[in-house]
Amino acid sequence: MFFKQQAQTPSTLSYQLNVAMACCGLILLITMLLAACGGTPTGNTSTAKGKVSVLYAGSLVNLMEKKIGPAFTQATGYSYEGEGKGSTALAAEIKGHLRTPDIFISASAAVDKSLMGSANGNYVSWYATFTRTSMVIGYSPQSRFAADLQAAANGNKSWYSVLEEPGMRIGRTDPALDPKGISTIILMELAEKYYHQPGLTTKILGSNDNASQIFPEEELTARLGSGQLDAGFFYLNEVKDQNLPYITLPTQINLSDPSMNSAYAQASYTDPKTSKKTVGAAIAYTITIPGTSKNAAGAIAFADFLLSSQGQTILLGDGLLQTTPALYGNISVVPAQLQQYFHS
Amino acid sequence: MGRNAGRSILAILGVLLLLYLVSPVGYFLFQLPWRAVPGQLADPTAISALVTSLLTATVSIVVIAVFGVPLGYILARRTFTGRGILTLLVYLPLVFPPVVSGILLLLLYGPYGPIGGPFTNAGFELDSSFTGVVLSQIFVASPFVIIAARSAFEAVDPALEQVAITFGKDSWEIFWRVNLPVARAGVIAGLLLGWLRALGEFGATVVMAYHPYTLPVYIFVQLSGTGVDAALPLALLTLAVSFVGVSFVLWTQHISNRRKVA
Amino acid sequence: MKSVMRETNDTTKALALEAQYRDEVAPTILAGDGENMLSVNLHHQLGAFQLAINFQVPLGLIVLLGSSGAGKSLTLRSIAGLLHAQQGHVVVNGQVLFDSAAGIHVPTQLRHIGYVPQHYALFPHLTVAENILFALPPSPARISWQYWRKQRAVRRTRVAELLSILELEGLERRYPVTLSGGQQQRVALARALAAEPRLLLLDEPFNALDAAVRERLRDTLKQFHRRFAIPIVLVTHDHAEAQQLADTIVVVQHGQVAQVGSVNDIFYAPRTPDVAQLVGQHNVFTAQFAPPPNQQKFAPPVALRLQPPVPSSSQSSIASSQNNEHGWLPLPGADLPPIPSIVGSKVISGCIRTDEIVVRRRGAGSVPPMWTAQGSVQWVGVLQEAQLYGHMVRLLIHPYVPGLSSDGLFIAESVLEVYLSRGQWRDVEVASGQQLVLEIPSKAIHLFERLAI
Repeated sequence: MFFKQQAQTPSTLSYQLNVAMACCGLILLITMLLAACGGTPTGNTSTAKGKVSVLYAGSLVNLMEKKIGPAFTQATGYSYEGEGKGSTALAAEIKGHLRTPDIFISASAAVDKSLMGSANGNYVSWYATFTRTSMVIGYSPQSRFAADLQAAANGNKSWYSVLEEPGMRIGRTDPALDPKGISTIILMELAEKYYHQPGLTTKILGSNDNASQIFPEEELTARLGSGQLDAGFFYLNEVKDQNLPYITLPTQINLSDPSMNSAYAQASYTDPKTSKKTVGAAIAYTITIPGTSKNAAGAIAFADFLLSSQGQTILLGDGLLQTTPALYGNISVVPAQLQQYFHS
Repeated sequence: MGRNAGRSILAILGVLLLLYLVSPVGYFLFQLPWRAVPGQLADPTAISALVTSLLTATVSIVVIAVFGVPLGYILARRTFTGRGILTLLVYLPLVFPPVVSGILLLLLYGPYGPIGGPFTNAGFELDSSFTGVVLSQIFVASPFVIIAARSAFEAVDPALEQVAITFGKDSWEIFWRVNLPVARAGVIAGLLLGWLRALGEFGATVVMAYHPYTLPVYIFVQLSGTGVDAALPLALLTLAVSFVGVSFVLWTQHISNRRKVA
Repeated sequence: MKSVMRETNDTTKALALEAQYRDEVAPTILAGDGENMLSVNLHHQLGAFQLAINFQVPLGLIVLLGSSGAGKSLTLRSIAGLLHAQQGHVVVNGQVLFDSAAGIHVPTQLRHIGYVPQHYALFPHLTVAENILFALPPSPARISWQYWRKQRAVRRTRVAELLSILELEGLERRYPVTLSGGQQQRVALARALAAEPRLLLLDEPFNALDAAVRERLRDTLKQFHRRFAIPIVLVTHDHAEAQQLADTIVVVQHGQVAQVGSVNDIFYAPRTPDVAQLVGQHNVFTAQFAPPPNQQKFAPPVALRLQPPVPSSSQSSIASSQNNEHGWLPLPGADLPPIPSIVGSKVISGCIRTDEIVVRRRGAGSVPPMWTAQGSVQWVGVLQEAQLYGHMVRLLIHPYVPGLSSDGLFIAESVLEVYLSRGQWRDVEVASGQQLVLEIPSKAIHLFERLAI
């Protein structure tokens, strides 16, 4: 005879667990379907009017995401989607069909020019400068050279002698990807002449494509903040965004004043690969509605907002400099609503 | 070499790697300004990014489960010409750097692409949308699930399938009622891995679908715009979410295994 | 059958179809009498292994007997349809399941053949009851809630029936990993039965179990084979098991059928030395044929010289080469079957059936007479060892060969195996090294038809 075995504890727990998991799965499924149908979930105030996608220079991240974007949405009801990167890199993406923005904001007119004309694909037919900024040297308060750098900021020491100190880690952006990288080199060349210090550029920057100094624009401030760099070349608005201490540079070299363009033009930079020559000029941010725009009404509304007094107030509050919007290109191709800003 | 020395060496090797993996997280938690964290986490965009991440990852993993687990089963159980090549193809998304994956997807599904173009013109963008995020995540996370599922199915005793055939069951029933339940642990481990991978996906989503923000992209935006201090609490969020997800799955596995142990 | 059932959407029709299914299948299950045959012919090349099986036996409890790697499992799987042989046919009770010439291969799902592999293949993720439930034939499509509920109740009852037949009550909710080997085996059987098979295939079902459980399960199997009249094909390498269970034995070796027959056929008349070894007849000899005195062409062998399996020692070879009359053990005589066309010293092979050998004490004094009154030959032997073997005693005895030594006796390298009951052993008990007398009648000698398949 086989011995009868004791019955094991019946698995009601397993049954309940199965039911619980099935319910969870069902709820999850329903939620997902709803979300997928509804598009982007919570956080959007209204998508009724559509979205405006803005590609902008990487130095404006904080301004655009925290200030301009929300203000624009509140004022007009369009939802705002922005992405910041080096201007030259963004232009390459537009040309390479990776991006189709409604608005393109760059940190250099040269970048816009590179998208104009039939040889370049006719992505841009007009652009307008709408604000300015100046070059400064931002530094990390945790740096071991902080005391010296602060002395330079106060004017007690010359900034270039501080930068020349051995062991100083300097950061700047890539001239190939970012107008600020080119501006840095031009700045140093102007400094050479201004301070009568020949060879200063090489001493401080090394070569033009010195890999130990070059970093992507979006990361530069972060690296400064995390202590990987002691000092770096930035725009004024960038360091103000991140509350970093900075050294102001003389107007003759900091590319901030358009009236000094003839002085700035004494320095230039030639791209080794494309042989394109960039002449020194005051830094101006440009805005355009490229041909890739999908939401025409939204794009016009955004440009209008930015050029309006409301937009300009926000810009000034961020450390950017006032400028009269100047149009490049035929005014007839500019949308009617925006033409009011360009009648000089 | 003594027996104990051999055992110690194994343990030491493992512990060293474990320390290396755990120490950055540990230090991060240690030096985090905890008082400031709740304020920083109240950022509505951050919460929105978190919800987007969770939803897209879950949708992606469900799609991968429905289509990828049967693929893993076929690769494990059926022999056919070209099986080797097919297995190789499954590894492809792993081979590409995620940014490259994003570019490839964008070429096809972007507004200029042959598939994406018609959709975009109809007003339904395949890139730069929830769908775009899901597409990127499916692309990068699939290999994890398929390969894990294949291993799990390979480990199933073929005799089980054979007796099921003699009971008159057809292929689908055998897959659903025999192979899948027996291979369940391995498949679920693969799905978990895929879910985590989808959750943490950055390179492909940055290129293909920058918006809507997923948590990794938003952390990067915060890093660029505001600085490291703004990014760290969000990293904490990522850590918490992953931890909860993994714990939940492991717990359910443990529960269902407990009643089967002798 | 299954697809037909799925198409219906009428309760009455469904019930009628189910009844028809039962009527059609049941008779074939119950009518397991001698007229039903299992015909298997398989030719299949698997790497270096060639399968060439051919047998036709009445359905009943068929045992495929053979050593490991002989091809028994492959044959079983071919019958089940899991292996698609390159050539051949399989016919069960008149139904052609496979015929390569006609291009017929009934898929496994439709063969209604139960298959229990080695290690049982119980579903580890299902309880005992669920395992058995899995195998039940699918009920027709659910038409109404009442019908579905009724069907569910019917299935539950069936599971309970099977559990009680195999004495598995109380184990319904256990998982297979928590069961003992014997319990797992019975669950596997219950599950195979649940599918209402026409034929049950068991692959070494009792291999992994300990002796006591094995005995009981063999009895159980025999009982329910009789009770339910389900034909069974069982694979084993254990000859005792084959003896206990089989109606018909098919001996498989090196991918071929060595012999087919009833239990007695195989054990008393193995065809080749390999089959003899397989069924436990260890007294196999190869011997030279001693020419009879009158030089007839067809004559029974008269004496045999036991040839040792290993190269002989110098002494015995000297003995055998020097003197023709010496080194020969006489055979019982005229009753032996004649070996055609053997003239001169040719090698023949045969065995001495252990159950026919009579062992007696050697009385002190002279050599016992070579021949008894009944025509049996008497050999003298030396006891090498007496092993206690359950209820029996196994004796290993060296037979003496007339030779050169001074007292006229000479030790050969061969060993004879004899089984005595314990009572018989008590009568003749001697110490190792002592002499015994072996009386061998002519019916103890069995000559093999061939040396190999």
